[in-house]
Amino acid sequence: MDIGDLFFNITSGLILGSIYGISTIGLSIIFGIMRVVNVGHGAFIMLGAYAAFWLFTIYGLIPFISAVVSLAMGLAIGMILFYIIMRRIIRGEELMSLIAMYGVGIFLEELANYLWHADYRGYSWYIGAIPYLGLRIQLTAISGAILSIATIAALFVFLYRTGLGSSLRAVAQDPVGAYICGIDVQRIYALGAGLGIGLATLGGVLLTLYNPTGIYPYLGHPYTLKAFVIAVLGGLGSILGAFLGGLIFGVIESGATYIFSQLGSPSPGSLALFLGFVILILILLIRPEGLLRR
Amino acid sequence: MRYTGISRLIAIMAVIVVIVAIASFFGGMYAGSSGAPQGVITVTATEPQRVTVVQTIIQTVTPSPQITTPTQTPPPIVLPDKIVIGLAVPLTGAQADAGKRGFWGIMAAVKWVNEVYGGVNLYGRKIPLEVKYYNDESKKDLVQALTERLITVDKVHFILSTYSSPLVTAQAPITEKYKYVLVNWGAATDYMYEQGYKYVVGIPTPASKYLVTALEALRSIDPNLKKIAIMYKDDEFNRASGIGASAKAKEMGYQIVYEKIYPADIKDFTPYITELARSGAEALFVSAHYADGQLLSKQLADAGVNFKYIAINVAACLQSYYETLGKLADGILCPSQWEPGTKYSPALARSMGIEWFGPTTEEFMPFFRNVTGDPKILPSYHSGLGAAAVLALVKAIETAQSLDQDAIRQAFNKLHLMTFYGVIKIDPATGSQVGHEMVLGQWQNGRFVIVWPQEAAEARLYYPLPTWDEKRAGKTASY
Amino acid sequence: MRLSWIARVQIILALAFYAILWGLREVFPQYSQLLTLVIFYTALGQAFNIFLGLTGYVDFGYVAFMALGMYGGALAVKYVASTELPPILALVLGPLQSVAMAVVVASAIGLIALRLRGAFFAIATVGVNEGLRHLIEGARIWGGAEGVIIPGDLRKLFGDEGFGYITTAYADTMLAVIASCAAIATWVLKNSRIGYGLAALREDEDAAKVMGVNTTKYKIIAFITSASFGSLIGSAWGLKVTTIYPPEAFNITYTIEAVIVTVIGGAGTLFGPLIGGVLYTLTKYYLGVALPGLQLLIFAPILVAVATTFPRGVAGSIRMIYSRRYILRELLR
Repeated sequence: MDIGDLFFNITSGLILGSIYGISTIGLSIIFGIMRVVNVGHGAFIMLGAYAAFWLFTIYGLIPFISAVVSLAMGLAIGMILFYIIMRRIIRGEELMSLIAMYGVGIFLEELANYLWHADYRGYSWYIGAIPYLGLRIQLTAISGAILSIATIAALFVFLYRTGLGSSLRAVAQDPVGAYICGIDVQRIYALGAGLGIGLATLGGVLLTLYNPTGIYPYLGHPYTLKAFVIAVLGGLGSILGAFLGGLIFGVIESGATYIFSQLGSPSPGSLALFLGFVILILILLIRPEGLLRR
Repeated sequence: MRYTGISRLIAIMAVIVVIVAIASFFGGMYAGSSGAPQGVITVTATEPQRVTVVQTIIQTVTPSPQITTPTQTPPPIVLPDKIVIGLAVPLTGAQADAGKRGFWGIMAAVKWVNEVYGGVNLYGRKIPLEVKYYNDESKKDLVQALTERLITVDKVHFILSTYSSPLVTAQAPITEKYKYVLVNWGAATDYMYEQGYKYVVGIPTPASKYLVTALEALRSIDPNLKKIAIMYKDDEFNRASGIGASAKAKEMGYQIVYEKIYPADIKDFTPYITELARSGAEALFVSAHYADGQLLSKQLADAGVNFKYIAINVAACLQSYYETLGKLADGILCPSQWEPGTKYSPALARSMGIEWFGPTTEEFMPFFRNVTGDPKILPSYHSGLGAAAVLALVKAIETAQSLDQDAIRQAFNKLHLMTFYGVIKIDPATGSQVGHEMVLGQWQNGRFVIVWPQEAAEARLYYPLPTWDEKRAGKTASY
Repeated sequence: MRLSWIARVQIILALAFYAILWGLREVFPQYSQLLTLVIFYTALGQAFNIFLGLTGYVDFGYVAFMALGMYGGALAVKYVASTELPPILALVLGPLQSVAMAVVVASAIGLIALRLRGAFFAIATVGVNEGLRHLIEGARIWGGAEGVIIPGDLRKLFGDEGFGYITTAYADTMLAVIASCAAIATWVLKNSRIGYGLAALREDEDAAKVMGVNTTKYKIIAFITSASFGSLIGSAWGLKVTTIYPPEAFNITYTIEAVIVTVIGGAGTLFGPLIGGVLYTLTKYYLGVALPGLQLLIFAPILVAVATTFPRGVAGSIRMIYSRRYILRELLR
């Protein structure tokens, strides 16, 4: 086993993990604030990926700009979705909200399939690479990781330093109490929904910085599953937790795969994923609320 | 005890249910074994058929020599005004891309049959084809329900398969139940033909042969290259393909220095790439599907790991592969069931002593464009497979001069023809495809050209592959 | 606990429903697969409802039990085919094996994960589902990702006619029987002391515990029962599709569909899954027949609309609207 290679893989896993993390935060926020399980989460990631693709291919906009655009777009979509759909289901059974969001997700995927067809698309944006331990790491991947971290930092600033952010946190903690304090809970919910969806689409763009291939309407499915697992692992409603959970998962996926492969397993990837889920369950047993509290 | 009332009720219910279960089991067993028609060859409607316009042709019918069971002169035939092909195909869901392309191929072939060929020759009349289709959403349960509906409610004459191994294998029990021939164009599995299905015939070359052409081509271009790496995705098709390649490579004396399986939905090939870089392999063979094929190529380029020869099946054959990877895709090889550049022609068929049927690729293209409505879309091998299925079916109908499923199944055994897709020949015992060969294509300066086998080649195989950096700098893989 | 006459009528109606569905298959054999699909989804909902409806917990990894059932049934077929044992043994061994595996896994999960609440429990079960799937693929258990393929073995055991019969009529009937039994189990649980306890813990688990309800025991009973039926469904389903691959068998979409069927119909009610199953399957199917290719585009908004209009499910909403009609309310309990 080559330690250098192991490090390379762990680094790669960290970058991948930061993408996982940023994609998951949206899910965590929506659940934390509104207790809505957004099963259609992956569809929004897909939208972000397509946004990056179309903006790059048609207008030549680099993904950094697409990131901002899709964040704004996601914010708008989230708020619209809230007013049309989520507002009604928040009061009902938790599972109904699950079903409704599932329907939304399917609708978006089928719309994408109808408009853009099921071809597997992608784009190529080469801005250089850093030689690292004998191989190379792409600057696009690194920039994706940096942007993820920057976004989280910005999010923290927003939540802990601004009035609006405090309102969000208040509503997440106790909607009734917040209402009593004079906060317009419905508007905060809408903002929360917008933020959650916006972060999901942003995650989609950042995803393409790491992997600008294989973009197709059903791209989101594996990400939805991972997002749930990571969100719970990190602690529902905790932003840093989601990010941390993402990092852990990324590192396990890449690092464990390498280790298992070196140990001779013919299908190391599946074993690594298995390990990942075992760790998830172990962590949940030891610390059922997840790694970090909100 | 306070539960007596319930317990008694439950006991009675349970007994009733168990009795019903046992009775249905034995009753059905009996019914099943006595009621099934045993391959009766008549030309009137014993099987459900859509007979609308009735035009009885008083003509004695001499049964074709390969049909062995009729014991009486068949009565006059009642011909339908349309032969309806039933199709459950994934237009949404995971298989949507491939399903759609196959669908286009089928519709284009049907158009050709109706407009150029004039229709299927049956008893002196030319009967046009029609397609009745449903979208099975890439779901097994829907496949079964929809296939049955096609057979029993829509009463189609023939069934063409859906797309992808899992879906076709779910479809087969239904067609077997109703004793309908299943013309399989969508599953390249080997094991389907080992399960004893009587009514399944296959058009694609089985998975295990996919990468073999790539191995053979490499051997002929560079006999000294020994160290190769093989990677394949962890699902039935890719395993069959990967293991087939591995076995053949060992047979050919290659030294497999790296062989790994990666999970479906893989997001990061880095661990595999770091090992590949150290393995010393000079050629890479990959059995993948679309997203992972694209990802692997991109990450290999990112990491700067070079090979003299890279063959990736399925993913690299598509237009979208080049559109996604751009110049980096140049030089990558892809074994394919069919590509528009293949050189199958009536002349070639004549020289090989095989019957030719259907349009040539050039003749096929306008129909394909018409069906897709977009001249920029090129037919992929899925379209070729779908079209070949239609052509083979038409030929089988004409050979059997019958619409009866058993007659058609027998006729498929006799089929040996060449189409624009290639040679079609069915193994009578299992129904698998034995005549068709894979071709090897390579991206050369943005065009996907056939480079192997020699008879079908449009251009010379470019070897060795330029490095990723060279390609970024603009070097292309063409002479 | 006195059994009101309505409760008796309930179960008879439910069983009659399944009998009719199954009988319709004989009357309209051309729709046999469609009817079987309805039975499949109602069965799935019925089995899922035993845990979800009665305890309020969501087992997101539920499909793992169905997958285990598929493997159990298929492996039994493969085993018997490789020996000289009588073929009927495959059909007997299959369900037994499935249930055994489900009970083992459910007990394990139950003892460990049922300490978790709400979303954490849901995700822990997802973890189990995905973990099992990757374990099978990674460690190449039971054929790994190549899956288990049984048409050939079925043919060997039962001949061609038998093969056709088992993969259709027999499997379909088995599904109907299982659905009926799941309905009976639901009904029994609801009308027994356990049902009282479960209702209490569904409303407020801590209060129930304080009142002396043995919540852990009851949860585990419901969980294992639900899991067993899920695996039985899988056992029958495996006979229908005849090929079992991990990514499809453990596909989380089945869980979501189970949720939809149960919740749209009315979770916790006896008829909920029936209503949900029929509505869901028929809507999907006929949309697919009418608008091939566009069906999901239309179905999704319908689903969203139904979810937002019937927050308590169809059965639940009818109960609320007709809350003054005793019979209707009790019937749809």
